[in-house]
This record gives sequence, C-alpha cells and structure tokens, in this order.
Amino acid sequence: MNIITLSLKSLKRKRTRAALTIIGVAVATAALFSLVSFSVGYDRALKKEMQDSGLQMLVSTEGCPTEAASLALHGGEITKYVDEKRLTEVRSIQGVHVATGMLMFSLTEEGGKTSLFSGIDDEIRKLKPYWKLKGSWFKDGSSIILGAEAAKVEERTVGDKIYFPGFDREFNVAGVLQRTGTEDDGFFFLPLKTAQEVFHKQGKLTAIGVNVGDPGRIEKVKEQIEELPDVYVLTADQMMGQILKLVGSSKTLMFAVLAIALIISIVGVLNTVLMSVMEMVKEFGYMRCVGAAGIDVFKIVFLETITVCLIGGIAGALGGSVLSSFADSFIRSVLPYAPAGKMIEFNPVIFVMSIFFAIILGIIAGVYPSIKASKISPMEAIRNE
Amino acid sequence: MNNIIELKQVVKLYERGSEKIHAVDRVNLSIEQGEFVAIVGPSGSGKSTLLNLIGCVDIPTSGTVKVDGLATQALKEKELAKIRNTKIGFVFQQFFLLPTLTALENVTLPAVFSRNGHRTKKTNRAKELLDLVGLTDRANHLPSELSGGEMQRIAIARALINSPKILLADEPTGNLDSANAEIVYNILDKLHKDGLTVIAVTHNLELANKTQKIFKLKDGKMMDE
Repeated sequence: MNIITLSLKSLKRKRTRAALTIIGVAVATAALFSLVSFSVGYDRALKKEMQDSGLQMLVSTEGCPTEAASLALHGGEITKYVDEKRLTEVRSIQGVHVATGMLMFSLTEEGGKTSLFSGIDDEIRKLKPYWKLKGSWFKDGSSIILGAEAAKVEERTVGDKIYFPGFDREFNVAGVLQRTGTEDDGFFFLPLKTAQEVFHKQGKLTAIGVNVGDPGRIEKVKEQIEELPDVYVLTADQMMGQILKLVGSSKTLMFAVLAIALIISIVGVLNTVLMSVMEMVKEFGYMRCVGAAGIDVFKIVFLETITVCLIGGIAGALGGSVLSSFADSFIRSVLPYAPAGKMIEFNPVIFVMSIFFAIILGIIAGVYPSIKASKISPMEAIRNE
Repeated sequence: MNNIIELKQVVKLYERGSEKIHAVDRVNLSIEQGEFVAIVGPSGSGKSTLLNLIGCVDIPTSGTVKVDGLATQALKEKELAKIRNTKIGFVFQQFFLLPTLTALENVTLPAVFSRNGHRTKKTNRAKELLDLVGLTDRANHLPSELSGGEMQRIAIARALINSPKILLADEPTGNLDSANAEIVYNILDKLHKDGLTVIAVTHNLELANKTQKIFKLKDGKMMDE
C-alpha cells in the first residue's frame, strides 16, 4: 500500500460522486476536443481545397471579395460578368502559366431541385491535375461531364444521355469524374461555348482562374492583370483570408461558449473535491495523528482529483473522437462557409492535448482543496470525535 | 533510568469567548523508559489533553514537554509529524480505523507515511503484528466486518507498525466489554514487558491498578501519584 493506493481507495468509496465528476470532466474535454479538432481541421480543409483547386488567382468583375472567394471554391451565380476578351489578355501577360475561363450557373427545376453547371475549357485540366475521368473529355458541343455525386444522383454513366427540361437540351455523358471530395463532385460540366449559348451569356465569363506556377510571381502578375479594365483580382491567400475572417466570428462565439463550459467544469470539480475534504476532516486528522505530514494528505487529495480528471479526460477525448464525426455535418450547417473536405478528423496531437488539458483542469481544481486538507490538524480528528 | 517523557510546568489554555479554561494547569510529570503508567481522573479533568500534549498532537500554551529528549514546542509541524510517526504509537477509544482499508492495510497505514523501509517489509511487519494481537485470520476484513474488541486490537497493531518507543492509549477499553478489555490489557502488558513505554488514560480502575504507576488529574492539576 502507498499514497496512490490510499487515494484510489478513497475514490472508490465515493463511486457515484466520482462518476458524476468524471462525466462533467468528460463532457468538457469532449467539447474541447471537438472544437479544437474542428478549428484545426477547418483551416486544413480550407487550405487543401485551395491547393486542390489549383487557383493562385481569381479574376472576376468588381464586387464583394467574399462572394468571389466562395464562387471560386464552391461555384455559384453572380450577376456581374467578365468580358471574355479579358481571358485572351490575361493569357498574353508574361508569367501566366494557365488561365481558364469559367461560367457558372445554377438551375432550379419545378420540384425545387437545384443543379449547378460550370462551363469550362480545356485549360482547366492543368489547374486540376488530380481529376480522374472515367470515359473521355468533351467530344463536341453536346457532351457533358458529370461530377461523381451528380452522376450518382442522376443515375447516369458514360454513354448515357441526360435531358435538362429547364433549358430543353439533351447531352451525351462523355465522362464521369471520380470522387474528389470537393464541390466538383456535385457539378455538371459543359464546354464553355455550350454553357454560354445555353445560358445566353455569349462572350461572358463568371471568372477567370489563373495559375502562374512559381508563387513568387503572383504579386507581379496580379499588378499587371489589375491594369486591365473592369477586373478584380483576388489571390488564393486573400480568398482564404476573406473566408477565415468570415468564419472567425463563429469560431470566437464557439470558443467563448467552450470557455464558459470549462470554467463551470473547474468550479464543479473544485466544489466536489472541497465537499469531500470537508466530509473527511476526521479521517485526515486521524492520518495526521499517526504521522502523516501535511504533504502526505495534500498528495492523497491531489492524486484523487487528478485521477478523476484523467479518467474524465480520456473518456472525453475518446467520446469526442466518436462524436466529432457526427458534429461535422451539424457545424457545416451553421457556418457561413464550409470547405468540402472532411473538417473533423482524428488528430492524435489534439487527443493527447485534450487529456493534458483535463489534467490541468484537475491541477487548478485540486490545489485549493488539497492545501485545505493538508492544513487539517491532528486535533481536528479528536475534536470532531 | 532515562526519562522518556518529561513535562515541566505545562499549561494548556483554551479560550471559549471571554472564558479561559485551564485544561492542563502547571503539570509536572516524568515517565521513565519502559514504564507502564495510567493517567486517571474524572471526565473533563484534562487526561486526554495531557495525552495529546505527550503525543505531539497538541502543543502546550506554556511549559515544556520533552519526548525522548526533544522539546516539542520548539518543533515545526513537519518534525512533530515525524515524532508521531516514528516514536509514538496512538490508540484511540474510537479506534479510528479507515473504513475503506482492510485490517492489514489499516495496520500498515502509519508505515505508508514513514519514508523508510520497503513495501514488502512493511506488509510483513503488519502481518507479524496481526499475529501478535491474534487476528491473522481477519487480515483481509474491513472494519465493518470486525467486532469492537477486534477493531481495538487492530488499532494496537497499527500503533506498533513503526516500532515506536512509546504507546499512548486513550481509553483503550472504554468501548469494550470486560472480556475484550481483558484481552486488550493483556496485550498492553505484554508490550510493556517487551520494553515498550505504555501510557494509558483510563476510567477503568481495574486496568489502572494493574499498571506500575498511576497519575491522578483533577481540574487540569496533577494530584498525588
């Protein structure tokens, strides 16, 4: 038998109270694990989405930069268009590696189903080298390429025909993209010229995606593009900055709620341990009578608190790991912008950090009751008796 | 012989509001090593307070208490704890066994707080002591499974775990029937014969009369020996 055994025996005696305290710590740890995982995962998923998009710059017409950023990543429809002549001019600028025109449109049919269309040219394949195509690229103006999810929903495969009553046109499915984990999965891709014709936007583009290869050239090329009339240039970093700024306030709110939960948790543990110390005055006093020094009693109470918090921390981190996969879809629904990839993934560093946090919680909550217990004099055992 | 306990002009004063109570009033006392003594007196005479002062559980308001040559009022709490742990064994009327620990673990407890000795050695010593008080077969029982007499015998074994020089017993038979009181007395007597200094506070005159020396206290003052 040693001090640790004594501490564990004391804990065993207060099973229900210990279990409730463990649950409290576990909930706080699970919340911390989920939110930190989300925060880290969000930034990572956003960065990945940016990198996967291959876009280093987005040239659109003047407007809201956030709208442009969202457009670049998720697609969508805006009412202002860039003149297609700008595409030729951008391509002629020295240092531009790839410049591809995009025309995006959404079509809502009678049942309320919305389909997203993107008119693209061949250059886009250089921006998205990770695209793996089943079937072939556009063969002619009546070809269509389906994103993986779009093909699944429409139950179409290579060689099938697909008819859109909204603009009364039938297309031949030339290819189906393998799943990318991005918004591309839900798109219907048309040849740029066909899209301009179908949506009556001849000579117009929603945006121009630009890649300059060497990131060091971005600023120089950006300045040159900005000299063109009626254009607004947004770099990938600016796009990410805009989105993170937009999501920042939501994150702040979530962390504020978490901070309150953690304070409540600390106060809860402190209260429980303090109550326990009050109830055990006689026993601690007796231990002092038989030679326990103040530090021995301190260790017993402190170890008890740390044990409760450690168990709660491990349970919370494990619970958080399981629950966070469900939390992904909920968080996605409340955020103004969410990247397409998985936002919350198991991260061992965050897992360990969450458990470490629970121990810190135990240290904060355990110090005062432990000091109080260590100051119980041997006389108190006798006096209480 | 050497005086293992020496009290000179010891006063213990308690204040209750404006009232001052002399629980122990100018007591002089000397106990030699290996003696078996009893401290007797009516309730409220200051017997237990005197035992607490000897046992380093409390410190005097004035005067000197020397335990094995060490003046307790000059010592820090940490040093007092060490004396309680190594030089003194305490037996209480209410046993004070920890309810979550088995008999063997309760006996081992003071050894947990002493920094010396290996764990196995401590456990073996606790087993020997359980054998000494005749409770080897109750080693793994919780206090709730033991009788009053058994609990007091466990408490005596526990007081001996760190091989103290002095055994202090506060009403050791107070909660026991005559048969169990006899068993407890016989154990204390055996320990004294083995060389241990035993000081018992008691109401039990039968027990007191079997000791070598009786100190009588009244209103905190020492009466004739």
